[in-house]
Amino acid sequence: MKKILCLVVIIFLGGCTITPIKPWERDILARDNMALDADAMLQLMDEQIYYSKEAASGGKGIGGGGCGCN
Amino acid sequence: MQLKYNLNPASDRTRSAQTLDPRSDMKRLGNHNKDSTQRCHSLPESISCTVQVRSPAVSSYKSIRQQLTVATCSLLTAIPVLAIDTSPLDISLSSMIYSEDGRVLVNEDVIEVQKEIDDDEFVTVRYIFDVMTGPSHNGLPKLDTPQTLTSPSGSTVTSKTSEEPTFAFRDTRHALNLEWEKPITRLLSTTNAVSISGEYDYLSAGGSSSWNYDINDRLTTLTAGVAANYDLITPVGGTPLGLGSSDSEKNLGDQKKGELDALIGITQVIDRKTLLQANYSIGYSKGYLTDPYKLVAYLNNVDLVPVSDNPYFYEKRPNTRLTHAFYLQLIRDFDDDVLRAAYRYFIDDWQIKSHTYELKYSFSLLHENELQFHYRYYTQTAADFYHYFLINDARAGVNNHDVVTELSQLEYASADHRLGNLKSETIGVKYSQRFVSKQSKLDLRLDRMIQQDQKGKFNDLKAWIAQIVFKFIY
Repeated sequence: MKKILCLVVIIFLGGCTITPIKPWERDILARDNMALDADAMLQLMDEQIYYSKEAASGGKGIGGGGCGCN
Repeated sequence: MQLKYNLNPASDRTRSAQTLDPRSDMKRLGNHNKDSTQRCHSLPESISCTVQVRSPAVSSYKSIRQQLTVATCSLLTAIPVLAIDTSPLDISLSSMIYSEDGRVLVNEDVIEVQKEIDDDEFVTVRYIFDVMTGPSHNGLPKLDTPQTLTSPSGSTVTSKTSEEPTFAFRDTRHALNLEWEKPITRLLSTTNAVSISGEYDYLSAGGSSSWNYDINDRLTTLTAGVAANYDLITPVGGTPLGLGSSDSEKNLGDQKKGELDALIGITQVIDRKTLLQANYSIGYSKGYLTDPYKLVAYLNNVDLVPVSDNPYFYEKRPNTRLTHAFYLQLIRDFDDDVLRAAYRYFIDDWQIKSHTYELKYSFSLLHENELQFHYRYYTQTAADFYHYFLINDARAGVNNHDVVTELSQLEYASADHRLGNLKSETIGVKYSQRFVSKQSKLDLRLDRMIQQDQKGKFNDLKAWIAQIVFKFIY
């Protein structure tokens, strides 16, 4: 599964070339579901769950609150 | 510990609106409209004068035209009042249940209110309330003999044979987060936040500041941020001596720790349908990083039962930790469907290395509703001081790393599974329903998480995650 996921990312990155777009061509990127933090409230919960159950954290952003997380 | 749930500044919806997509242009258009309506304050007089000058002789129409003029001007003057005074509140309500099979149950409720106080300037207040209850694993292994222990609250607990010992706990957590986003120039914006949270045995306060700068015709956003956190730990029953016997007195008093984080990132519009985000973050923690409730077992190498004297002792971790995280996210549109692929590599000076892969695919349904499938795969190597248990001499099948002839030889030790060789998978589904006005949205999601020891030593942890989120404008 890990290899498949790697492959997906590589395919996308390999196939990507930066194509400048004009402001009036940003209709797709403007959609809510294309936002970097779409579903922010779900991500908020995910971050807290995985933070309290795994040793690794961070990367997406910084700041927030603290917890004892037993 | 510090939760990284403040998202990358570049990912914030308002900032992404400024930097990445036409919503910023729409917003600016919206503001121009607002400006236009504000200027309409002066219109009634001029219109009225024009009417009177151009038609002085047509008295039969005069009253009608005047009335129409007054009505028109009344409407025009009413609009800016609405535009200025009715800045709406964006409200999000969330309730989540996290339920481990036979273990911990958490209910977390969130209310978030956001208000635009000026053009592209937002204030957000978020309140979180958690209730946590149930048995939590205390670090000891499952053995062929029952294990009798004293819980942090002082009660005696005896585990069943071949069952991982646990301590039952109940706690609540209140957290408050205040965030202020402000554009500095057309291309530069900042977000500053403070947060405070409290549990029965834990207090935390922190702040963060991040900056976004758009370049390359706003197709690229550069991000930089710093955060600091200060925590006060007051363990139930007192703080135990690290590596001290579980029978010893816990009289070390309150503990504290601090954490500093920094992040740099870049977000790039690849083409009309693709976004790429890359971040690097570094974190440094100093202070009491030990879990005061976790124990380590010291076993006899002959029959793997607790040695007769001092069978259990409290864990002890280093008092500093340096972490690095590299994060990559790709978002791609496929004819209204959306694929999100993310990868994170994490490494720290406790010798933990971790890979996280995440895939989300959203199917676009009628009326902008959505169905999303989600898969997450996580692995980590163990901390160099992690031991499933320790034995007092060499034994076949037990790693030499876990052999300690004298406990005084140990500098650090922990049997907390979260520092072990973990593998975790989460699979989930989410449904999003927009309501007629499109001013409100309901999200329902259900995830199943399974966490396993890659060495197969400790029991699997299985949990359900259910969440409902309702967003609306008030």
